[in-house]
Amino acid sequence: MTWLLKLYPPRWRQRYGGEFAELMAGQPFSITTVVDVIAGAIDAWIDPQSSTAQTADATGETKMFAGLKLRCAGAGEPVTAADNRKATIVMIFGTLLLTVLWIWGLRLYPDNPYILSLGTMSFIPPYLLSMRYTTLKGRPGSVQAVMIGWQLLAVIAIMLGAAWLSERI
Amino acid sequence: MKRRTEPEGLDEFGRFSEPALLIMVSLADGPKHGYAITEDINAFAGVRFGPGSLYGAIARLESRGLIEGLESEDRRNPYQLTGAGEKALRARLQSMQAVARIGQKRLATA
Repeated sequence: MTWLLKLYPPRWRQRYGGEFAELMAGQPFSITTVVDVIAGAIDAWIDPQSSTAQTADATGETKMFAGLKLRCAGAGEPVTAADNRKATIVMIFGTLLLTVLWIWGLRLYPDNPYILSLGTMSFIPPYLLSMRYTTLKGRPGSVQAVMIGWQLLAVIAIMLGAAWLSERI
Repeated sequence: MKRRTEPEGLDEFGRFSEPALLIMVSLADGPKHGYAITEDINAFAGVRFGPGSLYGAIARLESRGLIEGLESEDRRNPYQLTGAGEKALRARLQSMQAVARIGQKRLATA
């Protein structure tokens, strides 16, 4: 998984790369870790000052600590019942909408392998979109867009690629 | 909704707020490197941060002079609290303690 380190800015890698790679080497592969590392890389590019040394406030002022919140439930913002409701609504109505669109597409282009392959996709885009209320809650909009966008593109590419292959086998 | 006790511009840590606080608590009893910090936080708070979250917070803490890296012969650089970091952590924990005390008192009388 250490190849993910290449996603980080060169300056950041220079400062933390060695120890970061060592820590990652000891971690079992998991999607959660990959998402965490990619989100960290996006953040490092968006907030380059985090790898630039600065002098502390001479008074030791608790400036940032007033903003610190002890949330032992996880690394992101806490997910409330309202967030879960929003995520569920997005998933249910999004899936229904895409299913209707897929059926409509099939009627227009019956037996088209590409349309057929997208049938299993109805649930995935709404699920990814719902992540902005759960897993990605509290992260900047740009990070949410990139995280959701690349996963969506990857899934679509895999499905269309499978359809393309099935046509040639 | 903004908290009354939260001065302006203090939300800059965003999602790194919790990791940053727990890292500082972990370093309160002495220097540790990344892996040791992860294990320590898992032991006392039951939270295991991924490498991205951990080093995102470490980079922010270091850039603000609240922790500092120590020289090391291998790749695992230990970190320690700076004087400013210790003072800030102490103040933050006192503030949390006051909130906890009030909460418990109110629950007891409810």
